[in-house]
Amino acid sequence: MIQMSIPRVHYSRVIGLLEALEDFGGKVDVAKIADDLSLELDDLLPVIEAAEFLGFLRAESGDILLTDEGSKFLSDGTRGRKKHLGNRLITLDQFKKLIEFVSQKEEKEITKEELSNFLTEELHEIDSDVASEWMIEWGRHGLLLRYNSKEDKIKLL
Amino acid sequence: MSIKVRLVTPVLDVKNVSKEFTYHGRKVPILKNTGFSVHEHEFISIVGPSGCGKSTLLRIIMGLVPPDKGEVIYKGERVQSVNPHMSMVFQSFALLPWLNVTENVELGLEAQGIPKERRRERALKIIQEVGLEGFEDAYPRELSGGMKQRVGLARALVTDPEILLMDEPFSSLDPLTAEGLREEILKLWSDKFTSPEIIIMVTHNVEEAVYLSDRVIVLSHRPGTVMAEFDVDLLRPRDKRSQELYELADRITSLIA
Repeated sequence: MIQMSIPRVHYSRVIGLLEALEDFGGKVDVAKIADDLSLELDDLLPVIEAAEFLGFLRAESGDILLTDEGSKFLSDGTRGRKKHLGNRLITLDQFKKLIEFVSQKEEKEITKEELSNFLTEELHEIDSDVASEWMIEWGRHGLLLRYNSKEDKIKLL
Repeated sequence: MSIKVRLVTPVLDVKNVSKEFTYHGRKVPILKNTGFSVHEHEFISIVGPSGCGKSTLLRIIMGLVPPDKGEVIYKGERVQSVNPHMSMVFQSFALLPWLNVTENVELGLEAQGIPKERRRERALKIIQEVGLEGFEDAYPRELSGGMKQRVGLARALVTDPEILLMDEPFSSLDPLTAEGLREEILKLWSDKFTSPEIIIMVTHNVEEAVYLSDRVIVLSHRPGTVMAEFDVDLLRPRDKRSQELYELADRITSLIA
């Protein structure tokens, strides 16, 4: 299986898409929902891919469908959603390897540059600087890591 | 249409408010004899054409700007300075870039003379409630628009306001982010155990106003005055795409256009 990259869209957009999809009864034509939200398809597609990558929806011949996982996620409160997200993220290779990598460090923390190098060397990310920004963003949302930009320290939670 | 009889005194009464601004030596009337009442646990939206004084009206309600004529009565008392039972969420987020999320949220409490330790405790609780957990140390530049508005919301809610005023809170967000945040604000308001009890929102998006509110107040062109009030008698949770909602939105839009 090809290892996909961490989504490069914001978490709040994924939530918005899932909320809208639920309003449509959990199944809708992609063009229709794009139209309804006044979004261009090329703006919406990455959000669909991200939600699919996280297991919250399924794309099927021009439609998108809310999965059971996605409904469970939506029915949860703000904190529950984060836990849900974290549980999903932690199954991804990127986060598994990152957690292992940080855990091996004596201080149990790394800098952003170390994260970037790790992504290049271990996960073969080409634009590892951008990738590390997104990894921090999703890791923060899923309560897997903390990042203090002032001290430049990434710590596991 | 149902007839509503309200026997209780309103929480907030905006009475005959007028306001003028002076622009290059000329007086420009912004609001003229504007008035409406707000009752317990209401979600009110104010809509109207741009420049009709919607935002000025919110500022007058909060006590940030005094009206030239008329008055705002909060629980039987005339508002004469900033009302501590109200908070405002701004379209532009209004965050301080040199403060992190926690510090920006704590700002809401600083003016109230609450000890530092209590401030932190309260800020962290609200941060969790609005979905900012994990971003406590982040600076505004590290946040997406949606997350910035969550900070704006947390800073407003940290003082436990009875009335939350929102000035175009979703207008600078992309449609998907706005979609999610609207639902979260509805949840916060519906929860009787948490603040706010009342929301007054200014928006130019009529469908958004109808979907969210119990009542929509329509202001006229400048100088803004109340042209009409619509009760939205649709059960919650509402279907955003229902025929009734569209029809009401259309009626309101035709009044403004």
